[in-house]
Amino acid sequence: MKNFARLLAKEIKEILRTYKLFVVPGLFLLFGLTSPILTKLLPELLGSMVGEIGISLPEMTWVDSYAQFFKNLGQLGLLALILTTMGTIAEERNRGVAQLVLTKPVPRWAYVLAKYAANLLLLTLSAALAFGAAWFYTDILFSDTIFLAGLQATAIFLLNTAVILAVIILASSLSKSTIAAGGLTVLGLILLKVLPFLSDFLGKYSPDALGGYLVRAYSGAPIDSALWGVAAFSLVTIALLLGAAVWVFSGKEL
Amino acid sequence: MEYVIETENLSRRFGKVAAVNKLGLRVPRGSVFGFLGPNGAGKTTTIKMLLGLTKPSAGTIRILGQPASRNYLNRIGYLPDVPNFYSWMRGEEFLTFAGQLFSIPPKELKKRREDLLALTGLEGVKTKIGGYSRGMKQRLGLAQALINEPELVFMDEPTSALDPIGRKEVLETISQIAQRCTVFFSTHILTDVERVCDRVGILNRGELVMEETIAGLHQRFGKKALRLVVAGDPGPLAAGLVKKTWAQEVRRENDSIYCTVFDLAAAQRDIPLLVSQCSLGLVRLEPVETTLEDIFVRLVKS
Repeated sequence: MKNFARLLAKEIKEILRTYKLFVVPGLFLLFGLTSPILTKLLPELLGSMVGEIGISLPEMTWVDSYAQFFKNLGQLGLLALILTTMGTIAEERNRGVAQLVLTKPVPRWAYVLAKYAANLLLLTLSAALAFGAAWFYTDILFSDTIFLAGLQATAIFLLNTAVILAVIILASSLSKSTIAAGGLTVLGLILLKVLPFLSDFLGKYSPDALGGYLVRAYSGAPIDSALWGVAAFSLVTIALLLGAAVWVFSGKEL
Repeated sequence: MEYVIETENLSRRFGKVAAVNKLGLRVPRGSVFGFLGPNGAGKTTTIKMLLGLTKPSAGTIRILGQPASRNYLNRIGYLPDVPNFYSWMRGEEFLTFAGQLFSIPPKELKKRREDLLALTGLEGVKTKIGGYSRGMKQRLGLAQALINEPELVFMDEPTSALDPIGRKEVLETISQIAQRCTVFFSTHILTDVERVCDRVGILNRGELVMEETIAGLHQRFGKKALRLVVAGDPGPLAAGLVKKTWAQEVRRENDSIYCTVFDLAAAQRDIPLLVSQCSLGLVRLEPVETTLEDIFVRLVKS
């Protein structure tokens, strides 16, 4: 357990001292700052573009601002996360750094889980920072902004991304090449999308259902108690994915 | 004799290819053991199996008296052939990190780190590891392998990619640490083995061809030989040498003749006369010691 803490400290130090510190939190913060402003300016921008045709656009609200923010996070933010994390194990294995660490009294589970924990921490801080900025500008630019709706949506976004992060870690432990790990991550994400179609139970509780709850949350719509079931199933999925990552990596030759 | 490494029938197959085949190895405590073999002989695979990085297909391993497990990792050190580090760290940071993984108390770790940086000539280097030369990385690799004061250090080809100065430095450091622990040192550079090792195991195509002390190898496989340089055409002299009963093998080497003999004294007595009979001038006649390279090539070829 002590070496898990030491590896985690090393991972955090690595994040603080490499480009990773700027990419994920930087990009997330950028979305937090720009999404409300762009949403506010969108009718004016579109209006100036269509000119005299005279299309009338509905007035944007805080819900649109949140929607834009979470859409950006879920697309480009996720892409940045995949690109910066897919090589976390694969690259160290390929370069031989893992050999140096794992010939010391370090259990392989600690090595894998420290990477997950550090990236999850980075993700949580990035999302919190970005949401803080998004809420601040949304509240200034739009009336009646509901803080709690955005906070709930951020929590759901984080849970969904924690599942994706576990997929990335599993993919990275499966492969020795960063590119292959990226490919396997995409394959894993496709499988997560397919999962709900396999049975009614999975349709209701698979992590993919978090997307629907995210929309409901930031819209301020009531959320039914089935969310807890989805959250529990997502946590089980994370545990299974990380268990698989540890199992796969423990059997890998270095 | 106490052995720090013992393997029995250790094998590793990759498909149909046996990278290591029924290896029986015994490395005595306190030795500097040269694990010799041509490229692709199975040296790295063997080291990886001993370290638990690769699973054997068959056979048993005992390290420091314990069966193969992760329990002995506290007591060993490892320097890979191409050590790679976290390029964003500084050398002393990596040593601290490595020491922490061994749960070395901070005060003790600070002292060991400073001693090892001095031993490997890296003290005062503030550059990040990403900016290190190959030789500096090798020396840092050596330092991190020693941070836990191991009883046994594995080194996989520690000098093969270094320039002569880097090689000399690393070999000197190995000689120094050999006084404190057993060194298991794989290489295909025979001069390095002669310089620092006291015992060798020769591996070829995954099989142990020979395990012996350096002196024992010379005694068992060394040949008595002479090298002659004459003024004039050495052809007739070489033909004459072949007929002598004390001559074993006669070979022309550029301007000289290399001759292995059964009876060195008889050869030294007869050769000047033979040179004179061939109307040649004797420029040089010197005994030649069989090199480890000669022995190695002979054993590997046979």
